[in-house]
Amino acid sequence: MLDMRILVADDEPINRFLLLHMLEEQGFKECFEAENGREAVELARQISPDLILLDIDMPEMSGFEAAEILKNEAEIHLPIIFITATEDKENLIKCLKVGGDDFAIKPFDKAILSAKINAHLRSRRMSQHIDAQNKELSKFRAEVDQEHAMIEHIYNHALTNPEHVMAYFDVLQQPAANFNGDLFLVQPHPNGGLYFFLGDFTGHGLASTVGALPVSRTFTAMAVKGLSVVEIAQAINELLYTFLPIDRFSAATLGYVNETGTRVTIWQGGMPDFYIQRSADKSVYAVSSEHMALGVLEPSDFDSDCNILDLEAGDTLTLFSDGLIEASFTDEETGEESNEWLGEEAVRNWLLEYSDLTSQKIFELAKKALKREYFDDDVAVIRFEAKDLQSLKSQESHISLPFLFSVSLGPDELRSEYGLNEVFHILNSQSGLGSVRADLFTAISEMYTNALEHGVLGLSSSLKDTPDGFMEYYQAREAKLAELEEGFVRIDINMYPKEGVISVAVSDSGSGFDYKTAQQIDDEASSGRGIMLLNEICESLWFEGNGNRIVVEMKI
Amino acid sequence: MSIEKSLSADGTTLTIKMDSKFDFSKVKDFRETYDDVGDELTTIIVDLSRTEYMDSSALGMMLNMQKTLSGRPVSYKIQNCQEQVARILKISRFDKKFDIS
Repeated sequence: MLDMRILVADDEPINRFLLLHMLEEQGFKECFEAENGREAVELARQISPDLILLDIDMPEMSGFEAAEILKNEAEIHLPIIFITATEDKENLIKCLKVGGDDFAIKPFDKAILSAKINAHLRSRRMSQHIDAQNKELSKFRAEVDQEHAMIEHIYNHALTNPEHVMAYFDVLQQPAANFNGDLFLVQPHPNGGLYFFLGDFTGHGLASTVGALPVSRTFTAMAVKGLSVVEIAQAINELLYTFLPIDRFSAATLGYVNETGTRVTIWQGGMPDFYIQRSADKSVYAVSSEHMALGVLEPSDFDSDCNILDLEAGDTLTLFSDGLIEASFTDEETGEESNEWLGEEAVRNWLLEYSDLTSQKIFELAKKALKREYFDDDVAVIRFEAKDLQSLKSQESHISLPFLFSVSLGPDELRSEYGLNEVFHILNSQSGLGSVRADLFTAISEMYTNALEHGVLGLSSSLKDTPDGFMEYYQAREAKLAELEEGFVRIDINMYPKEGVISVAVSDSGSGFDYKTAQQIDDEASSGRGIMLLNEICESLWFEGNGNRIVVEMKI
Repeated sequence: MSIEKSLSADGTTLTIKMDSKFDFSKVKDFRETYDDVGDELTTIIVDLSRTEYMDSSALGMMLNMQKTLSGRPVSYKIQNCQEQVARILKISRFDKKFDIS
């Protein structure tokens, strides 16, 4: 405290002397003097005093005038103690009115005045302390703002939904903080149709959005390939499980609407019910989440149950995050929040009541019902009306290179599922296959199964004609495969991007069969369906050699 | 995950819920689900809501089930198919022998 600066302003030299002497006795080392108000103001600008002892009546500028200026110019609390000769009540009150903090009446009592000086220096020190903390906070705040701005930039550029797909949705998103913990993503399916993802990460604000980037990347990359809703949900679950802390995860609804807009496949975990409203009779059905949120379960415990709903043109889906229905009512009289939630039923009732409902209107109705303007959690309301989506079919130009992929699988690979899975894995990484992917995989597995069972293992389909034989067939398959020592299945895939064709040939080490006289199968037969499936999904199919090589072509 | 089977309280409806892959590896497990059905049985429902992949051996397994239980007044339903599975059933004209919804 003794290092603090004290300025004494008095036009009487004897008074200045007495005051300075007293201060020196106290041990104050930095004391300054001024002869009138103006000098005090000028000196204060140079030395920034911590406390001022100010006489009232001085030439050029009075203490009252000076006090106002000094107080105005001080950045933090600057204590001013008036030294006055008068005991006039009005005057003493004025001392405090013009900004003074205290007064001492001449002749002053040394003990009382020094006690006052010390008390005021304490409050000066406190405001210095607060000021330093404020500056630190502002600096910190500025840094945070800068970081947020940067992250916002990344988000705005990374989390963009294709507009032509967004056009099919009526979306309302209202974040509770700068960053939205509710994530809505859409992508077209390469065959037409579309995917959507509504995620609600634990909490809100920045921490809740760290998962958004990788989720959106995974979603987009898998949608382009035309993967199934379950495959996408599975991948996102594994992603979030692996890299988010245990208490962080994302409730989610992941859906795929087929190209004709007549069917929606939905995987839903940890989300509120969503509603489907039939256009025919306006009836409303709730569909509940069956699963835990994404990122909670170990990948091996992931459950792939989906809800599959048939749609007719004009049917609507209404999805929302819990921020809407778990918002509580505000008491009109006390302004306090009650324990009562809006609840899912409210939304159902609005669907039944209003024929012109939009996401925005649902939000407005919720605000009105709850008597609140702001929500504590992120709110998302998404509406989709079923219609034909064939125009979303990928117009992707296949600029990919032609390629040839060839692999021969021996006994060890044939015994495990690894070999075929690896082939699918490699194909999945190729671009331009999105539209035929599912059929291509079906075709390859059918050809592979035939080559393995009939070619390599020499099993006869006729065995499958009776129920007992059917079981025997598969028992024999298992036994023969376990003992297999030689033989192979070879897969050759040729991609001709320019011609828009992919061809797959599967050959085996077996002795082939007389494909020219192979009979047509009927609907009753338990075998031969593989070939029938191939005929349907492939552009063309033929056998080569002695029947141990089958070739199919598909359009891409 | 594995195949789940459930029988209605009155023993008339058997629901077989397949897991993610329905192929030859399920031959035995699938067969066991309807091995011990009683005489009250009138409906078998195959629930494919979890099934992402199905091949022609699965088709064979379902037809084999009908063959095994032939002579019984049982109707067969297939429910909740995902996209590719529905496509395969349609191509294979399974709607002739199963009530597919």
